[in-house]
Amino acid sequence: MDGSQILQLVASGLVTGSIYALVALGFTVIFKSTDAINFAQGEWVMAGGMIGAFLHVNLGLAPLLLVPVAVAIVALLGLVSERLAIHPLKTPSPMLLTLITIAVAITTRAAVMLTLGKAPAGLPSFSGNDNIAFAGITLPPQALWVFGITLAVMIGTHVFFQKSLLGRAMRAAAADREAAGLVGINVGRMAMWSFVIAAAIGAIAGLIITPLTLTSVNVGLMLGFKGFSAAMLGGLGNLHGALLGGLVLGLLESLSAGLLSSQFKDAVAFVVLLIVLFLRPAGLLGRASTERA
Amino acid sequence: MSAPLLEARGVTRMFAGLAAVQDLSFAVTPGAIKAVIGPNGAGKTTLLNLLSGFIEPSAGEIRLENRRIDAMPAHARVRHGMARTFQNLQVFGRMTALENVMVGRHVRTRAGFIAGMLRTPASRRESAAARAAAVKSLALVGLDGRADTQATDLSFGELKLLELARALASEPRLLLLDEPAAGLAMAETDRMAGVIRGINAGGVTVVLVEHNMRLVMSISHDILVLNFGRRIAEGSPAIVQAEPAVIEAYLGRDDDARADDA
Amino acid sequence: MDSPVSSNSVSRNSYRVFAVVWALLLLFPLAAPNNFILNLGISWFISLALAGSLNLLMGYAGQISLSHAAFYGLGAYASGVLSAKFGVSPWLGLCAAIVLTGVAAFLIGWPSLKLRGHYLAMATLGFNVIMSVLFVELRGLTGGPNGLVGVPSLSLFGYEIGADIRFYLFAWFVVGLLMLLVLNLLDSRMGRALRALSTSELAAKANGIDVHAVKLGVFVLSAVMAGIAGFLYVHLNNFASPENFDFVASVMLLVVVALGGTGTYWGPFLGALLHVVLPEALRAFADFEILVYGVSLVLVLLFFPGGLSGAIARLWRLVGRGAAR
Repeated sequence: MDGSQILQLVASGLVTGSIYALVALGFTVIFKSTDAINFAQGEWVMAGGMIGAFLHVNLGLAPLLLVPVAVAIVALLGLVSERLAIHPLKTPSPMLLTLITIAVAITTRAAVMLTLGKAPAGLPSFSGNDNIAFAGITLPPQALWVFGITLAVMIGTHVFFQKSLLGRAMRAAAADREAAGLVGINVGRMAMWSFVIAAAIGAIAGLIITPLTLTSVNVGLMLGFKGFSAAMLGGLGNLHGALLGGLVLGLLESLSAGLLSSQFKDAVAFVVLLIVLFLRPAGLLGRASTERA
Repeated sequence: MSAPLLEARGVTRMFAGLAAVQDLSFAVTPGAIKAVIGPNGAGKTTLLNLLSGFIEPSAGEIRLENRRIDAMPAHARVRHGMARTFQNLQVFGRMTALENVMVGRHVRTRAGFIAGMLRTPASRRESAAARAAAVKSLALVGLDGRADTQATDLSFGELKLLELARALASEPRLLLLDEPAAGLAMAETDRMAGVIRGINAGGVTVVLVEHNMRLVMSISHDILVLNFGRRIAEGSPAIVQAEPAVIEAYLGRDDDARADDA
Repeated sequence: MDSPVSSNSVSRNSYRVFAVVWALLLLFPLAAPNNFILNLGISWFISLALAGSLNLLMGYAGQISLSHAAFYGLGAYASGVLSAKFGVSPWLGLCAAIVLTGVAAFLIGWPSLKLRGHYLAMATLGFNVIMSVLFVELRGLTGGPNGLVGVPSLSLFGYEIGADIRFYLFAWFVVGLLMLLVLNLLDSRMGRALRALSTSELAAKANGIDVHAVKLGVFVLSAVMAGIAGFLYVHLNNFASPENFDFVASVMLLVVVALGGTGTYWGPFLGALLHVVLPEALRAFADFEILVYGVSLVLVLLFFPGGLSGAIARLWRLVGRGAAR
């Protein structure tokens, strides 16, 4: 295998890695604010793509126009899920919280399946179909959208949590619920916003990848799991870790599929997760002392 | 002067840049009752959690009978003769009082999963012995009449005694008590004092974290006073009570002490 | 799981009730009008092994496994492939099922359970996803998406155990034994350790219980039980197909265990009933099946954390108190 073929693998690995990074970001946002692993994250990614496809086919909206609409719808889904299923649990045990997100996940998937059907759906590329070639590799233009939007979301999330009032309030609530409550922050609301944001990020991920890979009701499971694996690799609870973990996982998957065997590509994420759990549960960027039982 | 049962050497514990316990060194004589007192936030609970293995020290050593235990997980320390109670009661609500105390016998019994599933004669004998030992433990604290009551049906005072009985069931050499008198009325406090004295007379060394001065002064041989994570005084009750640094740390505590007795 | 604070002790009574229930189950074949109903009864036994094992993990060890169907499938395929493709005796296949599920559970559980939080749930989700891929992709071994065919029935001393009253009695015996072992476990030293850590891990540790080791032991045990259920399944149906062992199947198990009631010995008996009956009842509304599971899980978790058995127990106590007056 020559250099340009490897570069091609790297490039496509970075594309899928960007999606994993976004999914990982969604997990991280909710983990930071509730200490829970949100099993519905992958289904929100699926919902974003499916709703986008539906809007395109039935309303003829151009992709760039329907993105905000689809994102808004899924963000609303996240809001409703949190209000109806999470918020009523007054003092949930971690197991209960995790179980509820599982329930939300399967309910979301079932709801989408019943309303939008089981068939795969697609979206046109956001800006045309002429492949871009450079340095011996070719990329579809959508790949650039993926890179660009992922970067924008990462930067936007970083800025939001560092600079905006709501973002800083959310960080405060995540760091110390009691203290945050004492200074007047509505801690329950902060959890709600984290769900809204995570759902929106998930939807964006689903929308930008669908032009490349198609979508269907079943994609949420794999994407969710791989995104979680990426989050663990980078360090759960670490925003930069989400980006790093996602890109590294994408690269590992792509390279192993190209150089070893493509049949078991999906197993890479699982193996990575096990290795992280065995060797360094805090992930690449996490602090080592966090997670001992 | 016999070798100390428990020793702390330069123990420090940081929490995000703040020292909850700072360079603490002290020793516990075998057979003694040592109280750890100090104003709120002095680091007493952190110290207890460090000694019992629920958190790790950032620096320093903890030795039990001259064996280093600071890296030893909490459950392993029980096997080495250390037991503890919890201030906010961690009783097993879905079990009877007797079953709670039988859990305390865990380190003195061995039957594993397979033996348990197969109900081997050895495991049955062991469980029967554990039951008998548990009854004795309950009797030591005066709860033998309540053995078959579900824990959630016991009164608060009885629950505090239950935790004590459970800790005793492992036959510890060292008992760490976390505010045993918290929430108890005066009569119950005196009963608790008597129980602790009795346990100590039976050869168990006791370290207790406590706010209730009545209890502390009446049963302790030795007192360690903490403030801001550091030792500010140590010695017999008489010495500590007269120590200016202690009085200063507790300035304004007189009113609180009276409220405790109400 | 936050059930209302009822006792989870095992008493003489528990054994007596178990003996009565199990004896009564011998009468079922007499009451069953046809072989289809009888096979539903056999399915109930298999579901009980699955629900019972998952309940040990969820209701007592407080952990979530999203791969119980994968262990189920691993047991089925292990014995099925060995007996169908390699002519190995199914009894050796049973050993293979036990070993494979046990080892897999150990490897996944050991790192996941060391950590606070619900990493086991995600790790098991991944495991199920991978196993589903393997069941489909290893066509040479497993027969791929169309399933594994030609799995022989069991035979004992030359006597074949076909899919009728013979298998019913066999399943009655095997699952009865498994549930008896579980009851014994709950009444033993390890059972007390398990019940202790289900209430307070802190206090369990403070009493010398190695919480990680106990959780791992329970996870392995529950995986092996699911594997044995798989062994029963594959030699009952002489067939195995990947779609019975996928993530959706794992979630369904989770849902019926939660619905039946976790943290009590009897919850799984109801859960197993739901596991057998619900798919039949919802057959007409196939597409809604998953929605029903999702919504009922939310409702149970929010309003009836003790599940059906918890609600029945509460009713029983209320009635008992009323009668006492």
